[in-house]
Amino acid sequence: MKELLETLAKALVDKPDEVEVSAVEGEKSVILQLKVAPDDVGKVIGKQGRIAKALRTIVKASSVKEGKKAVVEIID
Amino acid sequence: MSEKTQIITKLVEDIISATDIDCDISIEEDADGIHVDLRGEELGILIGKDGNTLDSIEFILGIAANRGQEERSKVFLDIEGYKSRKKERIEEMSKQAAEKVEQTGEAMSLSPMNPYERRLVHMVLKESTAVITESIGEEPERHIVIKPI
Repeated sequence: MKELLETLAKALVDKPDEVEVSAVEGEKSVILQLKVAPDDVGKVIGKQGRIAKALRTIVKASSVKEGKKAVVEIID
Repeated sequence: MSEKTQIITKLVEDIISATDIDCDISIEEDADGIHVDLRGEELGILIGKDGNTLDSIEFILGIAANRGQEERSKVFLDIEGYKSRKKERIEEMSKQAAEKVEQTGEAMSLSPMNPYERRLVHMVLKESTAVITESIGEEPERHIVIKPI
């Protein structure tokens, strides 16, 4: 899941080297914190949050397979 | 292979490997855009409810392909033929709804659809001399109303 979010985020930003995802693991859930360069924040959020919503949908889908609920937080 | 197709190929491969799903990837480019087709077992999770996950992946692929490019290309994603089946269903349903509107003379609202699906309905009924189609409301509730002429 962490790897997936990282892959997707890197494909969207201008500075892929500054993409960082840290995972806070709980028993039944995992919080994925996505950090990107300050100029790139808009690129992972999108107009009306559409990109952030799509990222959450995709990560949530992959979390089903791992049996853990994933929550994506975008840090700025 | 164009630069955009290379970007998409790499990204699709990375997504598949990160989700640990076994599948065949086929990517073709034509005048309409870049067509990505995935076939394999257990791809249901990448389709999602009402194709939500599929639409999200397609949306992200489209943005990734066009980032920093002057000319925009469309990216089309299909998984296990889900979208082509859905397209047929929507076209069939549109024709039936139009017939009903023509018979009853009453306008009919369809369920909310995404822009791609609404466009399909408009296209199917474009030539009709009995009904007109109109999109009303705001996303995600935006939907088509079929009206008698």
